[in-house]
Amino acid sequence: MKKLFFLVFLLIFWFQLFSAEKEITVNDLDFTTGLRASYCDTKIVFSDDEIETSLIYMVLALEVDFDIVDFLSIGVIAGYNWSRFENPLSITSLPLSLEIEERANRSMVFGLNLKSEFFSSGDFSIFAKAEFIYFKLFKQEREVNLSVVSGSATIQHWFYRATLDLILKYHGFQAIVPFLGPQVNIIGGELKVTEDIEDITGEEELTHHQKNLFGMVGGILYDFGRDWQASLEVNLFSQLSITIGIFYQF
Amino acid sequence: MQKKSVFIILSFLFIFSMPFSRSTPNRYHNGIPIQSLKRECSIPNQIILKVIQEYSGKKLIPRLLLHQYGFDIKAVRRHHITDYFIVETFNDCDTENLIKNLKADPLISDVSLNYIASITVDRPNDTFFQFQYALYNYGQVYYPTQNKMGNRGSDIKALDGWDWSIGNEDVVIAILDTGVAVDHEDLINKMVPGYNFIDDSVDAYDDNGHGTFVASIAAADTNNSTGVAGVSWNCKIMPVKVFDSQGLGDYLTIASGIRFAADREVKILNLSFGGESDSFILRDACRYAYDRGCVLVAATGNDASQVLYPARYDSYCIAVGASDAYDEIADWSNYGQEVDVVAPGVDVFGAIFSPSEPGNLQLYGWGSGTSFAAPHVAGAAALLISYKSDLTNSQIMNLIKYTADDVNDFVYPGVDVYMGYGRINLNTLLGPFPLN
Repeated sequence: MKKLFFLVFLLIFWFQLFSAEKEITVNDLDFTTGLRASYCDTKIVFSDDEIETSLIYMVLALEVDFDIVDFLSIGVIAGYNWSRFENPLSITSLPLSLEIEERANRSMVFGLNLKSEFFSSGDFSIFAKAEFIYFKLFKQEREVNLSVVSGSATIQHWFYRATLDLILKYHGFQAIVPFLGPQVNIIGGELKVTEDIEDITGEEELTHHQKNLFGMVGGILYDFGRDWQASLEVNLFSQLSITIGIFYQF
Repeated sequence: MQKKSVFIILSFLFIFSMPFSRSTPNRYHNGIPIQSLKRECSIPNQIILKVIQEYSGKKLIPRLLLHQYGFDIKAVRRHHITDYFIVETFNDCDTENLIKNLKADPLISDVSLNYIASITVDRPNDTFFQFQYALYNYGQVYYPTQNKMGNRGSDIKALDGWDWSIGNEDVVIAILDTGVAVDHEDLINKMVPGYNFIDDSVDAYDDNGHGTFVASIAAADTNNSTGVAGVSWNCKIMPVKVFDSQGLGDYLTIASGIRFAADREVKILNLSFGGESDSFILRDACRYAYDRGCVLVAATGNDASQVLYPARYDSYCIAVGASDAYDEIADWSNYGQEVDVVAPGVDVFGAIFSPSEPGNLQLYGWGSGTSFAAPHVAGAAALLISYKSDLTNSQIMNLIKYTADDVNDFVYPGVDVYMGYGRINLNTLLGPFPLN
C-alpha cells in the first residue's frame, strides 16, 4: 500500500511538472506558517494476534509551507503530541504478562507534506495532499512490584501516519472554501516492551497497522484579514479526527 | 504574494473538545464454556420467623413458642426493617425438626433459613466445586460435616487464572506416586500411558488411593458436571507408580520413575513424597529431569521438621508447603530455607479411590498434607506451559515463586522459612500484571 501511495503522488507530480512546464515560475521563497492542533481517534490492529484497539492522539504542531512552484508546495511540520491506547493493552507473550494502562505518553512529531492544487474549473478546483508524520515516543520505564520481588519494564512506542487526500474545493463563497474528498490513511508502528524481574528477562515487539484504509476528509477554509487563513478539517470512516489550524501567509 | 519583514508570533488557544475518556478494559478470554451458577447455603444456627400479623410486634411470642416445643434458644431478636424474628440456635439444635414444628404452628406464618446468595461468577460446573476452597474461597462452608468455613480470598485465584489458560492436552503431568485409578469417573478421560515400577508392568493402577487424590487435584476432568475441578482443565496425567500399596518406595525405584518420565518429554513431575536421607540416587535423577527441561514439584513433608528430599534439592525442585483456608501455614508443614511456595493442603477436596472398594469409582472426599498442596503447583505449572510454551523450566519455577502472594508478610515479610515466597496466585502468574 505504501508503494501505491507514493506511485499516485509521483504520477500527479510528474504529470503536472511536464504538462505545465512552460507556466512554471519559481517565486522568491513564498511561504506560509501556522499552528495546527489535531485530535485523532483511529482503530489499529496489532498484527500478531489481531488485537484491536484505538490509538488516540493529540498533536500541536507548527507548520511552514514553502511554495516550490505555482501548483506545488512543501510543508514541514514539527510539534508535540500526546498519545495513548483506548484500552489497557495486554502483552501476554512475555514471561510475566504485562498490562499497559492507557496513560498518555508524550513525544515530538515531525512531518512533511506536499500539496498541489493541480486542476481548476469555474468555482471548483481539485487539490491533492500527501502527508507523512512520524511520532517518536519517549522511552518509559515502569516498576513491576510483585509481592516479594521487584523489577522493571521498559516501553517504547513509535508510529507514523501517512495520508493521501484528493479534495474537491468550492470557491463560490466569498471567504469560505468548503472541501470534501476521499482519503487514504495509513498508520504503522511498533511497540517494544522489555521486562527485567530478578533473573527473568523478556522482550516483545508488536507491530500495528490501521484497521481501515479508506476514509473521507472534509472541512472549510476561512480567509480573514488580508493574509490570514483558518481551517477546520474532519476525517471520517478510517479514523475520527478533527484538525483546526490558523495560518499566516508571508 | 506580499513579503513581510517581520515574523509575527502566532498565538492560539486550543481547546480540545474531545476528552481522553476512559472505557471498560477489553480482556481477551479463552472462550471457555463455563457456566454461571449461584451458590446457596445458609447462615449457621439461624432461623428467620414470620409471625402472623396480629402478633408481629410481640417479641416474647417466638421465645415462648420455641420453649413450648422443647428447643433451647440462644437468642431471639427482631429485625428492624422486616419485622421478622431472627432466632439464634445452638450448634446441637435439630434445625430441621424445629422448622417442621414451627411451620405447623398457627401463630407462625412462615419459617426460613437465612440463605446466602453470592454474586454470579464464572466457575466450572463440577458437582463438588464449592468444596474446593483451594481454587475459589468465598467464605463458603467447604467441609459441611465439620462445618468448616474459610476466609474469602484465601485461594490460589484459579477463577481469574483460568481466564488466561485452562491448559492444553499436549501438556502432561507425571504423577510419581502409588499409581492412579485410571478409570475413576473424573480421571478416565485424562490419562496417558504410564508405568508401574513396583511390578515392572504397564499397569500403573492405584492400590493405595494417594496417587488418585493427587492426580485429581492437578488435572481432574473439569467442567464435566462431575466430581471436582482440576487446576489444569485439559492437561493430561501420566501415572508412574513408584510406591507400593503401603505408600513406600525405595530411592532406586523412584529414580527410575523420574528418569522414565523425563525421557518421555513430560514437562511436569509431581513428587508428593519425601525421604529424610540425601542420596545421589535421588539427586542425580532430579538433576537428570531438570536438565531435560522438566519442572519438578515436590512436597516438603508433614512432620513440622526440616524439608524432606527431593523437595530439599533446591536447584532442581520447587518445594511446596501446605496452607489452609485462612492462608495460614499448616502447623505440620515442614519448613526451612528450601521452602519455595505454599498451596492449600489442609482439607482439600479431591477424587478418592479406596482399594477396599475397587468398583466404586465415584468417590470424593477431603484430605490433608503437603502431598495435596504440591499438585496445585504442578497444575499451575501445566497451565503456564500450556500458555507460554517457550518458557524454560527455570523461568517457570521462578515465575511461580515471584508471583506468589506473601500472605504471612505481617509476621514474616519477604521470603521466609515457613511459606517461602508465599501462597501461589494463578491470576498473577497467568494474567497480565498492570503497570502503574
